[in-house]
Amino acid sequence: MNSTLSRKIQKVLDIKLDSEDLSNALEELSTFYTSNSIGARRNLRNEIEKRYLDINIQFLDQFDQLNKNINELVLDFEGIKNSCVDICDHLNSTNRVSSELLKNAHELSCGLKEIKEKENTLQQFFKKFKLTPQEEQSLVKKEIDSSFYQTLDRLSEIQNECKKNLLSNQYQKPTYEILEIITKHQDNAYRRLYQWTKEEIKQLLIIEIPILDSFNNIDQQQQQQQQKVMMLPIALSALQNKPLLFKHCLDEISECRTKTISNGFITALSFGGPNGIPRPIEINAHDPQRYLGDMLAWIHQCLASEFELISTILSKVTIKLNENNNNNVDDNIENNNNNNNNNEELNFIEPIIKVLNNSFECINRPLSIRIDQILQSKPGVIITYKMISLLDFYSRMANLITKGSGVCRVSTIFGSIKSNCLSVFFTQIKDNFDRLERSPTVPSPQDLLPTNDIKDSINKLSELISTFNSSLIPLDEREKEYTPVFSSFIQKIINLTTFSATSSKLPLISMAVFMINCLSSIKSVLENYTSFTASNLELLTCQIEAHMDTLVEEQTSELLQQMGIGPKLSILQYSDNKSPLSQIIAMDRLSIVQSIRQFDNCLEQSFGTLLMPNCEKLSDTTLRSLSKKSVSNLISVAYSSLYSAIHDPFNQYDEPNSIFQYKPDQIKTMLDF
Amino acid sequence: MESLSKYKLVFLGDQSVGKTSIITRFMYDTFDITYQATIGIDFLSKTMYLEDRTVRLQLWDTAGQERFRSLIPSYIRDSSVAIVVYDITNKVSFTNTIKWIEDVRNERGNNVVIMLVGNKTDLADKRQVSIEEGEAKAKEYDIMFTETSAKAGFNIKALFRKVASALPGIDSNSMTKNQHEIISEVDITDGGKPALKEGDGFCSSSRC
Repeated sequence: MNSTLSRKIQKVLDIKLDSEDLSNALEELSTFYTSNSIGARRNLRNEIEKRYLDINIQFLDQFDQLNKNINELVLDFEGIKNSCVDICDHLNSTNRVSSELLKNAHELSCGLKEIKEKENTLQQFFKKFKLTPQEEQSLVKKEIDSSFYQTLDRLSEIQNECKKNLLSNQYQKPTYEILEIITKHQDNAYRRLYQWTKEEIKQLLIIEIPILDSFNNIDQQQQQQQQKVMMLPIALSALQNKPLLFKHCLDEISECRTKTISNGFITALSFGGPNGIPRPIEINAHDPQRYLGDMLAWIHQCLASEFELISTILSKVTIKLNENNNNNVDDNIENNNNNNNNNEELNFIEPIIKVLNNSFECINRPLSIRIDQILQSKPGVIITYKMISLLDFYSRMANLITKGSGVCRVSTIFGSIKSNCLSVFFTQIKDNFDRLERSPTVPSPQDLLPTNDIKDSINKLSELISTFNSSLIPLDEREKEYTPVFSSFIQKIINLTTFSATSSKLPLISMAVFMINCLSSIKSVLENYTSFTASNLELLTCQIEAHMDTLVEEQTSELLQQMGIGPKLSILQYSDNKSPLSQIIAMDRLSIVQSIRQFDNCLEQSFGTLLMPNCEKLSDTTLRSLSKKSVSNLISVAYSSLYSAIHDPFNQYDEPNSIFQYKPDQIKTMLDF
Repeated sequence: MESLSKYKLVFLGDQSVGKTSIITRFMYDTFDITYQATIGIDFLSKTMYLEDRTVRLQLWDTAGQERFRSLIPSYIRDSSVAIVVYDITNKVSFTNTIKWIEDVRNERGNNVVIMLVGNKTDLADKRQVSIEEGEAKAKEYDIMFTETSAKAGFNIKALFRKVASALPGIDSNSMTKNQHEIISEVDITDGGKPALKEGDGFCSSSRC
């Protein structure tokens, strides 16, 4: 018994409990072996075998089902195989029947691609050379708006493309056809635009002060009008492509503005402003300078306003007009070609200048008539020249308004009228001096001052030059403008002076004084304006110097005669230097002594200040002083020459020192002042 | 009938008081330190946008030099507004405003807006004309008054805004009001001038 127990215990101890199979077995066992009874232990083997048998039976059942399904699948595959065979047979049959059809379909497919390419080409062509319905509509609908101008641009593009094709010599015939259609569209559009523009010009520009950019939220009508004004520059810009139509529009603008300017000017002249303020310009017709000034100022202000207006309307215009423009299109083209060949820029004119010049032509006649009326009333030289100066002033102001963008017609009108006034002015001067010279007034011997006639003439000269100096003439132009007017006037005064002098039968010395007084009066006027009177001043200075020489010589001779040594000096001057002076009659020692004594007495009595009555009559203090000094100097020189001659041993005067009381230096000192 | 949307302003005053500088500051918001005398008559225009309307101002800048003096009445007669400028550092220019104002009255009667302007307020240390003196003269002549500095940009825009507001507008209420003021200011015994008819221009007596 011990060995059996021992063997069983050893067997139990040899069991490996960590085996996975054992673990699983025990776990499975626990599912049905729930009680540890004797019966359970005895039936354990049967229970396990029974369970094993059941599992095998389930497996067999499942496998049998699988086998059944596989058999069904095999049958299905057999069916499919049969169907495929049928399909292949059918397909082959169809291919045989449809091979021709497939061939045709392929050909058609290729043809379709080609046709699509052609369709694309055609679409591109239409896009390039044909207007869309919307675009065509925009050209004919009632209102002209931005779409109209866009279509116009489109037409230009098409036209350019056509010209390119013609240059490349491709598709000539269809291109010409397209060009014809496009040109027709274009002509209709431009004609319509032209009509619209003309109508707008008439409506907008006929009023005196068109509303340009004023804007009032309250007044809707004005708002609409403003929008119209803004459209006008765009319309004119577009019409540049049709030079003839564009020119007609400019003419229309000029015509409208001509009416308003003309009416405005006549109203300002005759009726004045609303309720009489401002007053009519003609109220001041009695005052030529104010009258003319008001007219010119009105035109100046009107020109500024018109320039602003036309600048706005033509703000989008870029071309320049041909000054020789004719209405004939062929001549137009010819002229353009000629001018392009000659590159004569001077023949071109800004449209704004053309419009302004045409508009202001209307002021020429009423202005000229009124100025003629002034001139016929014989206003006098001063008034006439002030008018000339005003016209010159405003001629330059008018050019300033247009800022050098072209020759301003207003300026040339003023210039032309100025020329007429200048002719009248010269005639007045000539008539005036002719009258004075027919019966010249003679100077008064007491003072030898300028006569009243000469004084009046010099005063007129002074006033005229003052007027000239107030003008707008640039400094570099002053002398050029001054010379033709004033040089002749000055020369006439000098002539009158000379005529008065020679008619007076005065002694030569008196005539010299008179001439000097007159010429220095003229000179004093000119010296105030040395910037442009230099040439006249130079001439006058030379003439004055000549007369001063005459005066000094005559006065010196007169004084020497009074002082007793005159005859002696004459003898000395004309001696032949071959025989001693002492042997000449009247040059003996005794005679010389007597003459010297007389000279010394005169000098001593006057304390060196000799009486020079003719020099005293010079009105110019500088010239007076200069003349006196010159006379004294000559006397001193004369005395010195006599002194030297007497002391010359050749002349055989015994003891010459006893003849003279004073030496030349002493005489010179006594005479200096 | 002249359009109510455009007005001419004439600038008057002695030489170098700053007429051109005021205009330049208003037009371009700049100031030129170097002085250049205006030659003849200068023209500039600008649009002003007010709360209730837009006005176009034409500015006529005159030369203060004596030699151009005789030309100026022709521009006064055509202007709705006269800006009489003096230099607050120059007593003589203030004294001379009398003749400018009288010139305006001679040409336009009461049908004009006159604004008396004392310029160069930036030179306060050299002031010779007080604000009170300016106000007194404006009151005496029944015109508007203000002080400015074109150099500093002081009060320039306000000046033009005040002038523009004083101009007769298209609004009927404003017109009625203006007519009422005109009637109250008419003096039929003044210098033997005929009484102004109802509906004549406009004369403002407001002062700052």
